[in-house]
Amino acid sequence: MRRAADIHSAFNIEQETFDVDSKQLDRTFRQLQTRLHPDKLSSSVPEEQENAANQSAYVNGAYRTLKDPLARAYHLLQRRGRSDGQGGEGTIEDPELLMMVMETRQQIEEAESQEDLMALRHTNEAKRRDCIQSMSVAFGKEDLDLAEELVTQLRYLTTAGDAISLKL
Amino acid sequence: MLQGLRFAAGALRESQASCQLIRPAVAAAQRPYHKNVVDHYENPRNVGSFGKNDANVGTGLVGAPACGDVMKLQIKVDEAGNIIDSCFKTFGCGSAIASSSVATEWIKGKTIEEVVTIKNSDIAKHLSLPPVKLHCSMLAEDAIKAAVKDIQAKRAAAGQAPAAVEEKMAATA
Repeated sequence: MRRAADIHSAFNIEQETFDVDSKQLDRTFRQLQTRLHPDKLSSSVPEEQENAANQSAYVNGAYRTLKDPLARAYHLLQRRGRSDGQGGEGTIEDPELLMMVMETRQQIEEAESQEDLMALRHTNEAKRRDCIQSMSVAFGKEDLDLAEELVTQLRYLTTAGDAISLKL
Repeated sequence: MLQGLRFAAGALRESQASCQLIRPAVAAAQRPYHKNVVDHYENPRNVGSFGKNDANVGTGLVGAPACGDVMKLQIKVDEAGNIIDSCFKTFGCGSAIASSSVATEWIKGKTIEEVVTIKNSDIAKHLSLPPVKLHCSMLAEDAIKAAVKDIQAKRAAAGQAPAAVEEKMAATA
């Protein structure tokens, strides 16, 4: 197995796309786990066992990245030479986005009842789905500027989702 | 050490979940929050909001996409450019909240020219922020600058209005 950052090929995905077949990903992961499981190795040679352990760790990390739309998007941007894969070191001042984020976080903070929080979660999840869908289109067109913008939005939507989950 | 500090467990978890650069368990084991951070987190100064459209209010709204933090810092400025009051609202980790709390404390009573010289390193030093949290103090520095920029833009626009009105009056005379 290639020890490269090409996590797609590790999972037999030919093209480094944003779209990934989730079920197929899970199937491939299970197959890889089985193949690399330390108990399956009859060899007692330490190097071989260590090699398998490293590969296993690599596969686990690759799976986590491919499974999560946000991680996958960061990875793709990094692979295409954009940002450092973490949303950049810098500060942003996008007023429209940040006002929306502030308002959402404020609503979450002020929410008192389960019903209110579930409603907020519902809205947030819908926004996340829309964002991911738009990201798919952006990556499909190789519009990396748009993809970067959307990744930032998704980051904030994910953080908001976590805040809701913590309160529920 | 963290156990000795009376946090609402939920509040701390929330703050750490919002800033996912380091895993909470590792952070707790390896580096407890400095007492200045704890102080500003448990007793944040100046949490609140001024009217955004108030002519004497400058609003700085900044974000750190790396960890999904958002910070709003506001200043109330008199005619001479002195910051007579300040407040903030931050959604993020304890370090981000503490950084903005410190910032609002430090800028009160100073002029807008003075406060743009406040460096993130000063804030970070005061809070003994570890390297992974330096961006939180940077966010506070940027928030101060953004608030000053806002009030200056408002004042400049207000300054132009009287002249424009005069022009109009002269034209229609």
